[in-house]
This record gives sequence, C-alpha cells and structure tokens, in this order.
Amino acid sequence: MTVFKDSEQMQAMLKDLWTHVIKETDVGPKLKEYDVNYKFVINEPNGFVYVDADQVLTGAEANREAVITMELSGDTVHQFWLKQLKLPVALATRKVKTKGPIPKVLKMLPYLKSVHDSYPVYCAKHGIHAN
Amino acid sequence: MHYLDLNIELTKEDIMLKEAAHEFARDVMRPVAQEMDRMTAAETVAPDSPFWEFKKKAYELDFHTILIPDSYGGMGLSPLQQALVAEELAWGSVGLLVDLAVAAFPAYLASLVPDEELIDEIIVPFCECRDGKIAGCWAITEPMHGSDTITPGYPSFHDPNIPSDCNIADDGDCYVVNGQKAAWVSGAPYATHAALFTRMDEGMGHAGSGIMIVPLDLPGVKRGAPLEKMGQRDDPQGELFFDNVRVPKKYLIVGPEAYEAMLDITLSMTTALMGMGAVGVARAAFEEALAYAKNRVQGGKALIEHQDVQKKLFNMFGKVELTRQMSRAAHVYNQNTSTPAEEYSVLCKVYGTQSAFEVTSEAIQIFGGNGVTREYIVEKLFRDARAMMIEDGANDILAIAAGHKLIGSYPRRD
Repeated sequence: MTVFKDSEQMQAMLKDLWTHVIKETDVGPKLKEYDVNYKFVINEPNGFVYVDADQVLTGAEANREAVITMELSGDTVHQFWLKQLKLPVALATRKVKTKGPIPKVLKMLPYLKSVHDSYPVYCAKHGIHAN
Repeated sequence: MHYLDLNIELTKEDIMLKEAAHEFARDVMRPVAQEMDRMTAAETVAPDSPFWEFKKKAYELDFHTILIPDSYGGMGLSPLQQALVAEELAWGSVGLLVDLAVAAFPAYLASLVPDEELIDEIIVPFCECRDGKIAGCWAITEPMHGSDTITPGYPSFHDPNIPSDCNIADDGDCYVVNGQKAAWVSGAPYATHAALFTRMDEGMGHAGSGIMIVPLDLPGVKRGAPLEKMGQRDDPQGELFFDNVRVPKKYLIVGPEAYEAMLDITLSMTTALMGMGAVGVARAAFEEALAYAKNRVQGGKALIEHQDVQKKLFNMFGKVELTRQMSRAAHVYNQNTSTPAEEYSVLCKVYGTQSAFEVTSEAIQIFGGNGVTREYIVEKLFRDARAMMIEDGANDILAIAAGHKLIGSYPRRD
C-alpha cells in the first residue's frame, strides 16, 4: 500500500506544495540565485515534477533537462519531506538517486526547511495521511 | 610556474581561483611546510609553531571551506574548482592540504544533514572561524585496522570475526564511545571535533559502523603524542582515546543501515582528491627538476642538453598530465552523481600516488647528489609522495578491493 493513491493525486499535491514554496518562501529566490532547478522522477506511483524559480510542472511536460535530477519512489518522497529519512541515508541506500552537482544539492538543503514545514499541511489539504 | 591547462572551458573565475590558490601555496604553504619538516612532531603543534600562522592565513582566505556549500558560509566551489584548488595547494604542501581537508570533515558531514542544531553548532562556527582554532579530523584508522576499514564491498568488510578497536554503544539519549583510533589520524593532536567512523554493530563487521561527529572537549577524550614519521611531517597526526565518552545522539550522521554505501560515497571524494594531491606533488618535483636541469652543467653542458635527461623529463611530464586529467574527470563525474563510480577514484589514488613517487624519485636522480640533501626540496617531495602510497589506504589493498568491485560493476551504466 503506497502513501499516494495514484499519480494524479501525488502530482497535484506536489505541484500545490512547490508552487507555495517557490512563491511564498526564500526557496524561489535561492533557486534563481544559485541557478538550480529540479526534476523529480518518481515511481510507485509514476510521475514527474519539475521545479524552477518561477514554475512547477508535472506530468510529461515536467520530463525535461534539469540541473539536479532526483529519482525516488512516492513513499520515499513522503518519508523525506516528513523528515523520516535523512538525505545521507537516502543517498547511501539508493532510495534517492541524484544526477547533477552534489555541491548544488547540498547548498540548497538549508533552504528546503520550508518544504519540510509545509509538507504536512499540504498532505492534509489533499487528503493524504501524514505520518 | 604556470602550466598549459588543456581544459579550454575554464572560466575567468576558475582561473582566478587557481591563481589565488597557487600564490597562497607558493608564499605561505611551501615555506611553512619546509620549516615544519625540520621540526620534531611535538614542535610542529607547539604554540610557537609556524603551523598556526599557516592555519590563520588559510582560514582568512577561506581555504578551509573548499568542501562546504556557500549557503552555510563556505566557498561553495564546483567539483572542478575543488580539483583545481586541491592541486595548487598540494603543490605547496600535500601535508598541509590534507590537514585543511580533514579540518572540514565534521562540517562537511553536517552539511549533508540540514539539522539546525548542527548548522549552528558545527558548520557556521567552522566557516566563520578566522584563526584556525576550530578544526576537524577524520578518525577512522585503528591500531589493528588500517586499510581494511576503507574497503567497502570487499568480503572481509562484513566479517563479524574481525573485532574493532573502537566501539559506539547506544545508551538512552547518548551514544557511548570506547576505544582507540590509531596514530595516523590527521589533525588529531589539536582538532576540536572528530568525524568518527567506527563500529556500532559487532555482528556486521566493519560494515556495522556509523559516522558521528564527536566534540573532542567531551569528558573521556585523550590524545596521544604527535607522530614522528618519514613524510608529510607538516601534517600533524596522532592517536585518539575514548573512555566512556558520552555523545548526544544528534551528532550521528548515519548508522550501520547506510554506513557501507556512505563510506563508498566518502571515499569516492577523498581518493580522487588524493589523486589531485599527487598531481600537485609530482608537478612540483617536475618543475624543480626542469629548472635545475636548465642550469646545472655536467659533462661540459647543461643537464637539459643530455638526451637521457630530456627523456626523463618527458616521462615525468606525462605522468603529471595523465594523473591530472584522470583525477579531474573522476572527481567531477563522482561529484555529479549519488551513485559514484568509486573504482575510478581509487584509480586516481593508486595510479596518481605511484606516479608521484616515480616522478619525485626521477627528480632526485636528475638532481644527482644534491637531490638527497636537505638543501633542495625534491627530497621532501619524495618522502611526501612515498607516504601517499600508504595514506588513505595502502595502494595494494585499495587495488585489490577495487578489482573485486570491477567483477560486479563493469561496465557501469550510470
């Protein structure tokens, strides 16, 4: 039993979350300053999420070149943003695979606190059990 | 001495960074390193040692943060820039480069975990430090274990019958550390924090270890005398002893569930950087030999006019260039993926340090009798290069472990 009901639910929730984060927190300006954008390639359920300083895309149009690509499962997405999984453990156990400069992955980490903080709120909004 | 860089895509920023690192290596590192080389190990870390002036100047220029993201106050270098700077600093002194690199280890590991307490306690103070007084060390080597602790993936790494000399036990809100790390811990004589890689689960062998930041002012930590050694005498090393040292759990970075793979990731960086260090040492020796050969007259003409010397210099030049290209490529590749191809980094270390040894040895040969005197730096470079063949894993064992890995991993697809 996966956390997300299906791809549509997962992508809609993540689009809503990231749109809030890039528009309302310092993540958007930092993505622009550091010239970073992300592509999340998610399996179980399958989906794509692309995030840059100005927009969030999902589905096929999100499957585009990005500075940092992260491959992970839907359940790992959930665990990571709920702080149930540390990044080094996720990387080491191959639950998250990244492509792109590791220094850029690391430099964005302190700014992603707002994603961690907002995640449970958006889970509730989209009817996803946050534990 | 400037060299032709075959990378035509270096930016102005890359070149300026490289030149700044070279100036620091030439004007600060090399003179301090040569002075420390003639001191006893205890004198190198005494209050009046020139080592502290080096630390202060290095920290003032941020060279202690080459591995730390700029979002925490580090230099935020790209992987290529890290390689450029590492070569230049090693040209000045590979021992002092190693000291700077391990000084950053606790902060670097903490940067993998965006925990606010670790950011405030470990990373930011380290980045803001300007007097060199906050420094880490990499505490992995043990009296009964050296290179075998850094062979993830090799069968012996999982052998529960191989006991550890240092252990972490779970005790409520703390971990308790007991045991010893061996005398080859760079920075141990004076470090404020250790990046401790040590056993947590005896039943899993070396794979049952964890990575933890240990403040070295905790009760129960003791240090051994600084180590007297042949090469890299400018890299202060010594033992660490832990007697019921209680470490708050927030300092654990990873436990046994991810240790082996995390060590793989760590080594993919450190062994490639050792390759860059080898380039710096070898290049220094090659440049010394070239300059000497142009001026020294033997047999009625300058050494450089002798065909055998020309051939020697070309072979030395080739080893420098090949090691540089390989080490840069492996480091940049592995810093662009979370599933590093560690065998390529090991190749940089094994081939690179062997090459540095050969190049420094040939430099002495070109210098003749002068090469074995302390009047010329090539004998120090030779001793430093020799130490590198054992440092961070003996080349023999690293090659065996990497060869074992190739059986399953070649050809890699990502």
